[in-house]
Amino acid sequence: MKKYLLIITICCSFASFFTSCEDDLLKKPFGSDLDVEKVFSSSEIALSAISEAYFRSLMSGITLRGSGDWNWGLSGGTLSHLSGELCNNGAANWVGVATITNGGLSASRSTDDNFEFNYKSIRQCFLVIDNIDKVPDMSANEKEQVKAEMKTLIAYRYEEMFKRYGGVPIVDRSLTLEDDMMIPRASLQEVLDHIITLCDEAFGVLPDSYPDNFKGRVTKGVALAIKAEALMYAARPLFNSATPYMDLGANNHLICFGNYSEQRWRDAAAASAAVIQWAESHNHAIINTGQPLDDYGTAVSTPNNPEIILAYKRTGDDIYSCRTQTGGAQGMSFNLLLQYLKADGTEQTWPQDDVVRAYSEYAAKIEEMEPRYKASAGAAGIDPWNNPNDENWRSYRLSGIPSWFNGGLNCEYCGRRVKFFYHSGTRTWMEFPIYRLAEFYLNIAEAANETGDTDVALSRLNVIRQRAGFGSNSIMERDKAKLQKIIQREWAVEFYEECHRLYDVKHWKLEDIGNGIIGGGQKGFFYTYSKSQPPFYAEDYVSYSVQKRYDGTWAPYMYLNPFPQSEINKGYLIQNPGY
Amino acid sequence: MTNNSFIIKTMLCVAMIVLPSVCIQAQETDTTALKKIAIMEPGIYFPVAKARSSAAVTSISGETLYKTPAANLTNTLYGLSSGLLVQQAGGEPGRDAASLTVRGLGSFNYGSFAVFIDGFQTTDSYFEYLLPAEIESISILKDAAALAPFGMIGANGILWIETKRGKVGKPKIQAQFRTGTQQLQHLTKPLPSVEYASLYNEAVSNDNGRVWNPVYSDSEINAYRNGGTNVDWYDAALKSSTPFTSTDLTFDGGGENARYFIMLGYVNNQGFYDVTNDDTHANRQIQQYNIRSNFDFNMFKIFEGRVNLGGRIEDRKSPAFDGSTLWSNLESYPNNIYPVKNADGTWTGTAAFPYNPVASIRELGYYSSHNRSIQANFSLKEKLDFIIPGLYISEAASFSNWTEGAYNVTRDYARYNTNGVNETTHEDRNYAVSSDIAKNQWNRNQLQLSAGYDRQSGRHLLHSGFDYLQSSYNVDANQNGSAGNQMKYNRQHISGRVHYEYDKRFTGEMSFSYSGADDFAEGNCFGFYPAVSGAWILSNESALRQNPIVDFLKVRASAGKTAYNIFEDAQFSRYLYQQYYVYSGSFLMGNSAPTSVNGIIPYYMAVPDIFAEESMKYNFGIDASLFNALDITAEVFMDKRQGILYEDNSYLSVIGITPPVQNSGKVTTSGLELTLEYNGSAEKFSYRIGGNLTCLKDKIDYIPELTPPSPAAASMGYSIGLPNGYECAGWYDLTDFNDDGTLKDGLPIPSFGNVQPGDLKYRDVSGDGVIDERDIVKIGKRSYPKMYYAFHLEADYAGFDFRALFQGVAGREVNILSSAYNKVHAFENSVTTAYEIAKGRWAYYPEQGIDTRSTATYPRLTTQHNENNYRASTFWMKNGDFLRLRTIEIGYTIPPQLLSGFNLTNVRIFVSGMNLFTLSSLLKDYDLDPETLSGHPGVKSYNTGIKISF
Repeated sequence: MKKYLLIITICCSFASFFTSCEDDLLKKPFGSDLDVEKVFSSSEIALSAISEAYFRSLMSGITLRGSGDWNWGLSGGTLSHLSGELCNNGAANWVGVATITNGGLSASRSTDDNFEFNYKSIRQCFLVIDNIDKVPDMSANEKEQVKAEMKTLIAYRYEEMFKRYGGVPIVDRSLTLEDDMMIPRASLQEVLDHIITLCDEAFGVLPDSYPDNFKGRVTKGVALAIKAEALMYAARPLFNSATPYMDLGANNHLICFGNYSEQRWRDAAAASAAVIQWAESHNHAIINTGQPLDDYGTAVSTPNNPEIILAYKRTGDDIYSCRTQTGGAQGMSFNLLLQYLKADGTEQTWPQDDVVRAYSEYAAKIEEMEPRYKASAGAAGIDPWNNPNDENWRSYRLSGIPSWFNGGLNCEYCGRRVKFFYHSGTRTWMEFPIYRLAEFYLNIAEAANETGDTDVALSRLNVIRQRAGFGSNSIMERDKAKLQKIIQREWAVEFYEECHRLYDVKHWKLEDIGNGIIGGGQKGFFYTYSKSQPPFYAEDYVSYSVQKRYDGTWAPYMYLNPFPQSEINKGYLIQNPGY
Repeated sequence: MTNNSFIIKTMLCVAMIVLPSVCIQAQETDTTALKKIAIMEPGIYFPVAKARSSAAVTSISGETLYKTPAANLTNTLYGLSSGLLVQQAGGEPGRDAASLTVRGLGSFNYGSFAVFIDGFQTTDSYFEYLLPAEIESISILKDAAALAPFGMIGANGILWIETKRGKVGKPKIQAQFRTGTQQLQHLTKPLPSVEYASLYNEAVSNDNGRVWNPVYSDSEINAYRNGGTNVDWYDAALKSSTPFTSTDLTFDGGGENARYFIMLGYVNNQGFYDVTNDDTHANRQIQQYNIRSNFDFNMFKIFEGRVNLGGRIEDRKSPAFDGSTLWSNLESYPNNIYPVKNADGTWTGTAAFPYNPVASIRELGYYSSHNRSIQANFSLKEKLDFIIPGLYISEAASFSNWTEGAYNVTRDYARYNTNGVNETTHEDRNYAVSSDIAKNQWNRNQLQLSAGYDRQSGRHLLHSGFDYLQSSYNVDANQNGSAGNQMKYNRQHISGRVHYEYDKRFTGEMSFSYSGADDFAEGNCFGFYPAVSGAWILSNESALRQNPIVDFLKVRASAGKTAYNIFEDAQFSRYLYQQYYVYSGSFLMGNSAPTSVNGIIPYYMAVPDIFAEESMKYNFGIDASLFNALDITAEVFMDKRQGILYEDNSYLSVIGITPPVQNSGKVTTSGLELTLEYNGSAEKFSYRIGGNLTCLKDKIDYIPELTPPSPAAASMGYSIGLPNGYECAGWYDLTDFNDDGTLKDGLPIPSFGNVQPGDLKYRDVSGDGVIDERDIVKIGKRSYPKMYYAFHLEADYAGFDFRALFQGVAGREVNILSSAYNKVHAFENSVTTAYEIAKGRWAYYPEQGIDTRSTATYPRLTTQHNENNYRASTFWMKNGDFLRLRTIEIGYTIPPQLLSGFNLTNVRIFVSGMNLFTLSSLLKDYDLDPETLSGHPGVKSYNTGIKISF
């Protein structure tokens, strides 16, 4: 028996060794990892969660370079390439835009946003809403204000989905693995109501402004602006109609309101008027000092100028802007150039054929263009108007520097991309304007014209035109259809490259959308040079002509974006028609 | 830890040790020593008689490994064991490991086997440069019976290595020396300048709307013909052969109470670059210094001690230029870009081709690294025969570690185009020395307490062993790619094995592991993995005992569970049971002094019950010896995996978070193995013919993948890693196009850009008039073979011995477009050259007398990126079967009577060759080595050597 006692003793020491070691040995080692308690343990770290909510939510439509999972959507190119504002030179590595402009939208390929990413942004906002109360060093008021900010960002993301997809699933909390996730698409009306509810709730809590170190976060004005934009899209012809653009049978309510109502235009105008009223009593204003080149240049370029209500604020040069290597190439399309007037308010006469003409003719004509053109584009061979005497902004830089590798000869087209960098000096980054006060003037002009309030429409339209240097050339047109065309043209010029035109032309259902705007032949200027190596100055250019660069694809199903086929296959979404 | 579980574990320990001993106590007592059995099969805790084993294990001796003169141990394993698939990679000295898998891929996350040396786990890199002279045997543990005690690291097989130990007897000294010359197995060379230029003209014209638009004029092409620039970069940068030397010296001996085995070894493996070794230059090379000292001692009839020290220094050097980039440049730089040097003696280089391959190895200095590794194992066994005869306990520890230091001598040099202009930013610089760089280390510490009971009485034989193990693996963050939470890997187990034989007719074995790792949530760290197996030795039944045909016959079967903890391989982020947050984007706040605030997002959605992948293995085998000459082993097996980790894409996007990684995937692998060995002799002549065959089949039973646009592009229901692509339907012909260059009505339109005559045509599987993702199908077999086989011939005659080993694979296809990128893409983006394969291009320029339309074997040429032609399709899938002569050796043993005057006991001299011969359709038809399709080729070698024993 002694033997067994000895064995048991040995085993006990074995087991106790095992037991005592186990807890320590298999414990996760101390590390720098973050869990939710740590994230919301102080206002400083919580600010990072808030920052991410801004970063993600407001990215919609703005292409960022670089890797990482935020870079979904377009891989190369911007919405302005898709809308035909910019001429795509067909470079294979700009696959993001090239597949869409050449092959159309498809449920099997990525689109200009990423459906999944919308809900990742929204979840980030809910993460903050759900946990901000844990932060010890924040007042109750501050916490309520943060929650209102998050609601506003959620509203923004739904508004962005609203114009892209129509009705989408409404998620009103952080879903867990146990939740029923089979959330179907809500109707167009339900999504619109949801956006307005969120904006109205947030409006009551949001501040009118922030202390200087937090400026750039959403104010009451932003909540108003999101609501105004949503109502604007609700009023435009694509949704505000008895019949949808393509039939979806019993599910037409997902893509169409099912009736035309003038009231939608009135609601849109009123919402925009509320934005203007709030803005102009809170230090925002249309910049108009009588120097149109400078005024417009400042309004679209200078960070935090009085016209900006909300901007995508980032340092670094990772926005796909003209200033970055990969974003710099390519220029304005001929179609968009035709929207601009001469500085004296009259039409420029550009060639209507593809005959090769002398460069001197081009140089003379381009010099006559209106200030907004000069603030937005750089002309071939001419000292850049937006940054005079700065070689970096000359058109040849597109072809002369190997590292601007998507460039090449003839990337200038009808004006090199330069917008958002007016007198930028050495600034390499930009703040993309998401809401600029001028938008709400044009909103009212467009809406009032539809409801027959022509005087209101003209007065608001002329505010923008006056600032643009057409003070002595006010629009007096009272014919509804003609005025509508004038206002649409004003949108194209005033908001060139500001992520407006792609969804404007779709929601207006423009007749020529497939014939030169998005689809059909896309043209640009083609130059010849007297030598083969850059740099190129005016004397090196020989001729210019209008040439077709590529054929864009348009089909009616492209009015709204497709849901990804992989998501449709999961069986809870109804696909938009035609995909 | 609660008291309850303490009690349970204590009782478990008691039960494990006491119960078997009590059972045996009931039998008659016979404490005599175990009988010596001819062939033992190594395994965890104790070896068993091979003849009565119930497990699937193949053992290879160190002597067999020595017969293949390769520097890297993995390259000596070809064809030596059924179930062990060895696939050759490149032959760059010091970076030449073959890839090994045991019984198939197992899981769609792949995953690797584990290596044990003298009972303790170590890393692959430590294993790779062991010398055959220090190895007693390598055993491949293949089935559940052999693997269950390894718990969470057992599912992908184990390489169980035992090093040599001293034997009782007079001191023995053995010296081996071999030296040889190595050559590259195969070089695929690009076209000479004349052909390059002619084809380039065609490519440019094809891109010019098929209007003839030559870049190279006829006179330029003629100049190439008459001595113009035409550099064979391989010839210019490489030597045709390079030396390999290995030598080792072993001492062993001792008495009953103390025995020793000592080995000293040195290997020098030089690379192929044509460069000297001096203060500022170095060829690619590895020199290794191995030392092993295994010491056994006994004290007081109770204690048995072991001290094993295995140490090694690896010194690597190479030119100061990345090896894989150099080989990529050699493959892609055309012959006509520039001469090796300009007429004025300066190095050539241009903006497009800045890295003159010859200058890259001669003018940049060298890199060197110095690696030290050691495995030190200590164990002390106490035989408790005074308590219960046969009972013992043992304590052991293993410390293995590796460190690396570096010393680099580097400079830059100016390079000029043929007009004397430096198009690059590179300028001449002086040599600079840097040594405080690339410091890396890992260490693995293991503690083991074991107990066992061995007993034989009458017809009963029992072995049992149990252990408690804790293992801690610490590695520098940059060794596994991801810093932070992936530096420390701890695991723990209680495992055991009980082996029982009755009357040499029946064997029953039970083994298990209660195995845990630190990657899982508290309370969920451990899994239980049991296995049972049995064998019936039919030839020991009276009916067969005197059978003239059957000398030996055994059937055996095993079933059991093991697991694979993928987190040890750093394939996923660890600790997925908790929700983590990571820094992601950033947003600017503030106007006058804006600050960028880093954003935080949730990482993978946490899965509280995340755990190791589980493998249920079944094995059935027959071992037989017939006619006193033929040995046969045949086995069938199945491996059912479940709980394979995969990002669960079935979750809906509205969840708004990266989908959770879950234990959801399932794979079934099955296969058969056959090993035959025939021994024949006639008078002084004896010979052996043998071979082995492994056939594998696997299928993904479940994977939560996103539904692809084409049903055939799915993974589920297919073999692991089966290639997807388009089904090629020939070429576009001139008649397929309208006058304006558009495709005629009715032809499906490819979505990869405009096509022209000579482009590849694909089948519109979906029938929607467009060639896109919806038309993807499975395009062939994967490069992991279905069948792996080897056969050997051995003969002895009057002191001469001969051996040849062939190894081959079948049921394999290779996508040459991706595997041999530079050699197959012609002129892609104007940065690659063209190879023989491009001469089969489709071309039609009647005015130039070019019309290959009816004979084309390659699409029309282009200098641009071509999305249509250069994508995975049936067109690029080629038969990858091959058969290689891995080893051939002729030796002569000097008759002992001639040696007696010299104090020598054995002298053998030999000549041998490695990889001398390959049969392959890839080699024959496409000039490509079937295994090493790009980068540094594998090596073949011719060697002579001598072995002397004192």
